Parts: sequence; structure tokens; C-alpha cells
Amino acid sequence: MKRLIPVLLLKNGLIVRSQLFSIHQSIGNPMHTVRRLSNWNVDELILLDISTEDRHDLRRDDLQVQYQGTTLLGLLPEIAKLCFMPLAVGGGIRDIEAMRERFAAGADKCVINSEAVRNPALLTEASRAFGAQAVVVSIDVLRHRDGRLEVMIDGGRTPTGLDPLAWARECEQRGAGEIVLNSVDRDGAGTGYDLALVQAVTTSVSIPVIACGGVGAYADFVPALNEGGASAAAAANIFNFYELAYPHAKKTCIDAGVAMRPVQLANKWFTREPQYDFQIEKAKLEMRMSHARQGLFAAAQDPRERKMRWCTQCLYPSLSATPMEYDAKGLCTGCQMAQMKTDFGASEWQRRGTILRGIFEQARSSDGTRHDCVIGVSGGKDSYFQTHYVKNVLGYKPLLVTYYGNNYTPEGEYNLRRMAEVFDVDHIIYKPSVTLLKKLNRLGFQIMGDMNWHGHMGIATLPMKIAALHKIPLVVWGEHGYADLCGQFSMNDFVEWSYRNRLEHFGRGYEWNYMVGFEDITAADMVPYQYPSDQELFDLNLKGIYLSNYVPWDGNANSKLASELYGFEAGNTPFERTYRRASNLDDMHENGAHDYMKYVKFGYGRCTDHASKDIRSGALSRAEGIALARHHDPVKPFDVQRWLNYVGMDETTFDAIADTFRDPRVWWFDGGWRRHELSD
Amino acid sequence: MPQRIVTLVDLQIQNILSVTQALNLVGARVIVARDAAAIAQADLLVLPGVGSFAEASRRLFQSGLAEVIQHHALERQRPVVGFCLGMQLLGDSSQEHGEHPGLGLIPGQVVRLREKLPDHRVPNVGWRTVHLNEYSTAVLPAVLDGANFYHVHSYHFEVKSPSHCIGTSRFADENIASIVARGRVLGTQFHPEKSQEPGLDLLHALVCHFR
Repeated sequence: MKRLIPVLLLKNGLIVRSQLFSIHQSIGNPMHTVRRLSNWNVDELILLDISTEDRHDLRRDDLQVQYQGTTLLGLLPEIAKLCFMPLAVGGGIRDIEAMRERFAAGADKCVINSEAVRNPALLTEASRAFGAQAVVVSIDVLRHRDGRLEVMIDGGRTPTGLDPLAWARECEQRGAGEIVLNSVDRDGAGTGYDLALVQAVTTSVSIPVIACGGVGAYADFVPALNEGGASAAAAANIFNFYELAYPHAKKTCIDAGVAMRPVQLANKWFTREPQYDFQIEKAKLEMRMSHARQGLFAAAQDPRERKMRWCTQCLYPSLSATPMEYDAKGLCTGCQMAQMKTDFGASEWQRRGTILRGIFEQARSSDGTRHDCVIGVSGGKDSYFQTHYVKNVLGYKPLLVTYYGNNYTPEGEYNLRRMAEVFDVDHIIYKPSVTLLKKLNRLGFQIMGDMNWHGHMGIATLPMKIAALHKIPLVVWGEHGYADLCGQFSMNDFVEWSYRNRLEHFGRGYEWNYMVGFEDITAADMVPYQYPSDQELFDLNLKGIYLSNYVPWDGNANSKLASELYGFEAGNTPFERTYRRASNLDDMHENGAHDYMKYVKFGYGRCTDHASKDIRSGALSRAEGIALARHHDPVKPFDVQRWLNYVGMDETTFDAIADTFRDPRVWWFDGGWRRHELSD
Repeated sequence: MPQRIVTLVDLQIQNILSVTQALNLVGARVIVARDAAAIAQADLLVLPGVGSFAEASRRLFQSGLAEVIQHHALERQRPVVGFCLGMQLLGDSSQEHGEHPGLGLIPGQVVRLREKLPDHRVPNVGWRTVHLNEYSTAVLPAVLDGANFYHVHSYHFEVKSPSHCIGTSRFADENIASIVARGRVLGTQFHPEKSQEPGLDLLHALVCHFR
């Protein structure tokens, strides 16, 4: 049986998407991804560490999933806890001792690349010490313009003059048990494997070869395994882009006649929803509350020396709520991706529009007995734009679904209520019990410093849940927030909605069942936050797409269109924490108390988000942006009082709990709270 | 049922952590033993394995652990389980990098796999379907017959008596021993701790019923 293998690239503790071995975009915390891969019973996992610093950055205090170590070796045992399939680990291995450490920390195989070229004797020695099966050589091959093949090392940067076939044979002779064959020029290209290269290597050696590099579609795996003669097909990026990508890819291979283990979507020993130990979690919460009462704040006690940096174009700090990376010029991935979008001409948008129509045609109700898609709407400007586009531009019949979090502003409520009428569509507004909402507000704030956890999870769950219930295979989201803000993905990834993204980024690792037991909350209370099973998603082939991947997307333009065509009302009173008026009317705390907590944690707020977007689009200069952010980011807004009355908390308690979340890398105490601040 | 205690023999060259995590998941408590005293107290003894036979054999015999394990199995009649290299160590000897002695708990030799290109490469790496045969023990649930387990090995165990091979998989045109057993000694060529659901099912069965 052949194997299908996901590769996770780790950079400074986070999973990254890689292109041409040089652009790396942060996808997120490896633990969430490994857990998903375990659920799907993946054949094997390859973990490659391409860290540039020896420090890992998963220390945000508001996340459920954390680990204590600061290096790969600290992370590995945590991954091993979630990984009941073979784990191959590579990156920076230079000697036998490094291999020994990785095996002890949970690796089953070590992947050696550059050091094997520099010191081939290491292979012989390693094979003797650990057995051939534990020694995997990774060979990165560059196909030059003239077709000549050359082995590259140091992450594809250093040419070696070695011929890949000769080098592969030498690795085999020296005792390597497997070869991972990667194509430098195909990395992140999505154009398929270099099949000639795969064939040449598999016929040159008699050890198994794992093909890697270039997969852009599920069907790309097949030729490497059939004609290519590879024993396994591996890829990194594609498994990060689409929901259930692994089972769908596997099904594609099996349908094409490749002998593989069948698709298995669940594992009785290992649930998709994390299992929390309530006693431990309760004790953690009590500890935080006790620290708040005693004024024990990590930021005040532990002033860590760490240099903050900011994007050289927009206002994004290195320590942000969203994962990001900078390029050599100091430009953040958010700005890089915004530039990519700006550079698209009309023909590119036309091409994307055609892809979008294809998706709708595939998903539409063929017999006209159901809605064609679901749109999750808050009633905001973007909701108006999405519904406008689906109903009145493309001409499909959407079902609107709203999670009603009970925090609407009067204008937001007005806009929401009018949607069914102005668009002539069906609209489900789901209102959870207010008693439950008050509990979740309190708990979200106390546990993770965010009263709107319920809102993020409700919005991220209900549209998918309603779609699964009514067997509607398409959910249309607006923009991918992190792709847009911090450039988490490339515009060419056509990234889609995923459970991992929902749990990791909307829920911070706190799944619905986490709350069960706190304040007498029951599982039945949490129904609005319970996501459809993987089997339901797979059987329905339920996709969630982001409209912003297919049509030009600009918040300001959406707002204008919504008010001109549909009478959308912007806020009557300006927000305190940002200068934009038409955003976040569905939740008064979203731009208020919730966002204030972002400032308390990270030292910046929504004004920085808005100004950064407006700087990228040319609507603001950087200096104007800095001035606005300096004015708005620190404001403690009036709606904090409403929230305190709503949940029954006093302001002193609120402030003390908030202070437990201050990140020591941003804040320190010196008579008052001080922060690293962006200067001109 | 009280929690079963499993003692792992740690030769400091194996994947102790992976096996520990998997055993914990199926409800066992794990003690990692590095010396004779710890092993002498054991109930269910597990020899995990990755690495080279020669090195493991040398460590077993030089440290005196080999005798303690033999005593545990033969005199005390307590169960011993080996995974992958740990399974091969249950045999009489191995030809991996020379000739090296095993524990001799199940008669047989460990010999190199014969490759058959293009599809049957050595090492034999990947998921292989295992069939339980008529010699299989009641300890292993029937549901494991036909299940897929993760194999990664260049050598395999040729048992002397066919009745000691209780589960087989195909390699090239041969049946090879994927599970061997003799009385209270059992070994799997594959890694149950890395074989997801069927692997964890197998560990669970051993933890609950292998006495």
C-alpha cells in the first residue's frame, strides 16, 4: 500500500506555508493541525523545522493550547501526545546526538538534508546506531532552466554541484532507509510534481522514495505514485488550505486506482473535539482570579527583554493577535498579500469570477427544492455586499443565517432586520438564551480575556450547522480575516473554511465542550456552538468559500454600495476606538470592550487594523495612521459600563482580570502600565 | 477494573515516549525500567523498539537485563511483549550487521527481507494488512484480522515452528511474520503505538487481557 503524507513546516514554533523556499506565511499552532491529522488517520507525518530563531512563540496567555518549551525539542513531546501515526522530524540535524534527542522526544524517524551533503559519514553512523528505517534523507533538487538537475542545500539556497541520482544512490549505500525528494522550483507552485525527476530517482535506488513539492490539486498525487514509482506522496500547503483536504486527497488517489488504506474520518481513541480535564481547567481559572485579586500580573513581575518590531509600511506589530511574518525589507505578509491583490488586473478578476461561478453551479440545487447556498450574515456592510453579490449579481438563492449575540447597536439591529425584505430572501436569526449569553460573556472574559468568545464561535458554527442540516453544500463567507489582515495565505491558495481555523483562531482552542460544567452550563445549552461532524461535512462535500478570493473586496466600497443600493445605515455616533463608522455595528463590544482587551493584551487595537488596511489601499498615509492609532488604541470605551451591568461585575474586578492578560513582551509596570509603542 | 501497570524496558535507544503515550491513552499506567530491580517487580513487560539489533542486543546482555527478562518470562511465567525491534529481540539471533544473540524466547532467526522491485523495497515501510491465522490467541480480538498496521523494517522474524507465527502480512510473494507468540510471549513486527485505531485496539487488548 502506498502512503499519502502531510508535511508540516515549522518556523519558530508555528506552521508556515512556504513558497519557493523563501516566502513563509504563518498558518498557526501545530497542535491544532496535528490533532486534525490524527483524526483523519493520516498515513504518516513529516515535520520539518525551518526556524530562524531558537525561540518559539506560542506563549500567548489567552490560548487554550500552549506548551512550555522554547525550542523544537520542547514542542515535540507535546506533538507526540497527539500523534499516533509515524512521525518523521527534520531540520537542523547535524549529529547523532541531535537524532537521539529527537527520538527520545517522540520522533520515529529523522530527516537529514544539508548535513548529509556536508558530512555523508553521518548517514553511515546514523544507520548503524538507529537502523536504516530511522534515517531519512531529504534531497532538494533544483531543475535549472536548461533542464539540468542539481542538489541544493540550506533550504534551497546553496548549490552543491551534486547530481540527484548519484547522490540518491550514495545515500542508499550509506544506509539511508528512505528518500524524501523535493523540488525547489515547484515549491508552492501548485503545478504538480516534477514527474521525470521522481521517475529518475525511483528507478535509481531500491529504497522507498517519498515525492514532495508542487501539489496544487488532489489529482496531482496520483501520477507520482503510479507512473512515478514513488512509495509515498507528500505535500505541505494543500493540506492547510481546504477542509478535510487529507480525506478528499486520499479518496482521489483510491478512486484513481492507487492501493491505499481507506479513508477513515474518525478514530474512537481520539476525538475531534479536544477533551478537557474539568478539574484542571477549573483550577486554572481559579488561579487567574486569585492572581487578579492579589494583583499578581505576569507583565509586572516578569519584564522580558524583547524587541518589538513593526511593519515598515503598515502599523502591524510583530507581537500581534494574528500570526504574521516579515520579508527582508520588513514588509509584513499582510502588506505583501495586499500588494498582490492590488496588482491583479481585470483579467485576473475575471478568471476568478469564472472559478466562482463554477463553484456555484456545482453546489446549486439541481431540482430547485432547496437554497443554493448559505450566507452567514451579521447584518453589517459586508453581509449586504455578500448577499447583493450572490443574489443580485450571480443570481442564486441564498439562505441567510445570523448568530444573534444580543449586543447589537440600534443601527446594526435595523440593518439586520431589513435584509430579508430588501434582498427578498429567507433569513434565520438564531438567538441563544440570554442567561447563557451572560454566562459565556463572563466566562470568556475570565478564561481568555475575551467576552466575545461566544460570538466568534457562534458566527463560525451556525452557518455550517444550518447548511449541514438542510443539506446545502456551500457556505459563502466574506473575507478571510487573517489572510486579509496579516497575509496568512496567498491569494492563489483559494483557502477555504475549516474546522481547524474555527477552533484555533475563532475559539483560541476553546471548543464548545470546554464551557460545560462552568456556571452549571450543560452540553444541551451549547447546541448553537456544536459543529457538524467530519462525516457530515465529507458526505455533503460541504465547502465554505471566501468571496474575497474571487471578487475585489474593500470594506469602504462595500459600505458605500450597501447604503446606496439598499439603504444600509452607518453608525450615528462615532466609535471611540476607531475612526471607521460602518464596521462592527452588529456588536457594540466588538469595537468596544472586546477590542479594548486586544489592546490590553497586545498593545494595539482595531484602529491599528483599520488604519493598516487603509494605508495599504492608499486611503491613509502611514503618519496619519500612526496618529489615529495613537489616539484611538488606548481608549477605554463607555460600553465597558454596559457590559459590566449586563454580566454583573464591578470595574475594579474587570481591570484586575484584564491586567492578568497583559503580555510581558509588550507591557511593563512603572508607576503605571507602559508599552512598546510605534513611533514615526 | 484497576489500572494495569505496564513496565517498559528502556535501553535508551528506543521510542519510549511514543509507546508510553499510546499505553496511557488505552488506560495503562507506565513504568519505565532501566535496571534489573525495576524489571524484577514487573507484571506486563514491554520491549519497545527502534534501532539496530546489534546495539540493542549488546545493551541487553551487557547490562544483565537479558537474564532478568528471560527469568520474567520463563520462571515467573509473566507476559512479555515486543514491538518491532523488540519483537525481533524475542528470537534466537539476528543477522543484522553480523550475527547477534536475541533473548531466545521464541525460536527463530531474524533475517533480511528480500526486495522485489519496483514495488517491494527494503526497508519495508508503510501500512500492511495483517491476517490472524488459526494459531492466533484469544487475547487478540477478531476485529484485528484484516486490519492495517504500520510496518517499518529491513529484517524479519523467521520462526522455527509455524505455530509461533499467529499473524502474517504479505511482502513480495511471501507471507512474513507480523505477529509472533508463544505462551505469554508476544511480538509484533509493526508499531502498534503508531498504528492509530487498530494499533490502540491491540494495545488495549494486551493491557486488559494478556496475563
